[in-house]
Amino acid sequence: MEFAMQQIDNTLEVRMIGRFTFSENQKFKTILQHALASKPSVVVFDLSKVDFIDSAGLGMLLLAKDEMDSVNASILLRGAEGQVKKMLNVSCFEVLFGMA
Amino acid sequence: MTANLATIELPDTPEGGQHPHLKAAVDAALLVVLKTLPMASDLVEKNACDLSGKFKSLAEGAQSQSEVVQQVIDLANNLSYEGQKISLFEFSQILERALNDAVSKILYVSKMAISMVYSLDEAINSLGEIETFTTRIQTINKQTNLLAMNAKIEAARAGEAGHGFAVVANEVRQVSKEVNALSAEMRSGIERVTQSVRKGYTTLQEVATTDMSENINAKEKLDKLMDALLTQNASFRNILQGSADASRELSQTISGMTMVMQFQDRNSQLIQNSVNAIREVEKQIQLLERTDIKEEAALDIVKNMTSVFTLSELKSQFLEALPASMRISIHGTDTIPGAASTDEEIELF
Repeated sequence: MEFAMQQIDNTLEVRMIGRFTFSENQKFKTILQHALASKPSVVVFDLSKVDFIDSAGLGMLLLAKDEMDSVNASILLRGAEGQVKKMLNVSCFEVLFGMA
Repeated sequence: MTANLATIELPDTPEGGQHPHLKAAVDAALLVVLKTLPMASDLVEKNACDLSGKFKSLAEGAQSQSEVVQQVIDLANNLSYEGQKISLFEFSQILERALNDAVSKILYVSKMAISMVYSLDEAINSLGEIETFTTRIQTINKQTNLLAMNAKIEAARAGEAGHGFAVVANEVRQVSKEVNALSAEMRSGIERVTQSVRKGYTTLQEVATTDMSENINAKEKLDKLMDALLTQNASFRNILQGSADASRELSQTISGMTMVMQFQDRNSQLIQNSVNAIREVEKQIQLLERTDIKEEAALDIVKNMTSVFTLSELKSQFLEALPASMRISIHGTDTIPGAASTDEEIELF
């Protein structure tokens, strides 16, 4: 997976590309540390270029939610398609996260 | 009957009064009519009641058929589970909740595993720091060793006086060796812990990564099941509506028919009134031959006959059939209360 981060005002946008699995945990930690340091009020994960996500990837998003909740920031998920969309659907993520 | 009587040539009356044969024949004919009319009325009434009863049971049949349709649909839509009735829709919701619960547990475990990975990262960082401490210990140890060597050389130079110093220098070298061995053990200990932690990563990867394709399949099937149940519910509703409509139409038709059957009430009233009129005529027949009846008494007799017609419809017909002059003397006016008959019909139903 590759990722790019861009902060505009209070919104941190994280665009992710490729597969989002357990192997990405170190990259995701970098994102998480950046998000905690830059203190945005909203973090948007753009998943439109993610073609596969597994339970570990979903677990990382849940962990990010816990971390962001603890600093009163919210997470929006955007642009999920195909397998990723199905995984978010079966996990009822639309209840836990905002959908942009 | 009157026409027939008129054409028959009668013998002369013996004493200028009624002819006894004629009187007997008229009485006999009236008797037959008086017996027949109520029979006809009874016949109509009996059959009308019979038909009404059949129509009623037809209506009840249609009603209970509609209830049976309702029961069948109710049964088709519900499951009996541990003495409780649950609808298929509720059942699929229970399944969906169970699936959601299972998925959220999988994801909770994944989240915790990732969280554990991040904690182990911290542990490995700390181990790395400890490893640099052992390197520093070894550096210090080398210096200590060097100092001990120098001390030993200086002790040898000092001769006999330095002998004790040489012993201390040897002890210091011995301690330095032990510290060196300890430091090496620490390094290998740290190495072993690091290895274990790295193994832990592999385990955590397995814990965090669950194949969820079956969950996705189950979810998709459940969604389709829900849609199918909603469609089925809608078509059941249509069937029930159709059945209810049909039964309502049927019972409306049947109550219309029952209304029509009430003609027999009217019929028996008409017959009863006719019978009463004939009885009155029978009574008055003997007065026809008498010539000594005064005008007033005659009018009273006609008034009595008028009052026999309790149905206003028949009374109107009677009054209409009278000559106009008589009508005014009896009724007080020339107008005939024709509208009253309509009121009576309304009262009947």
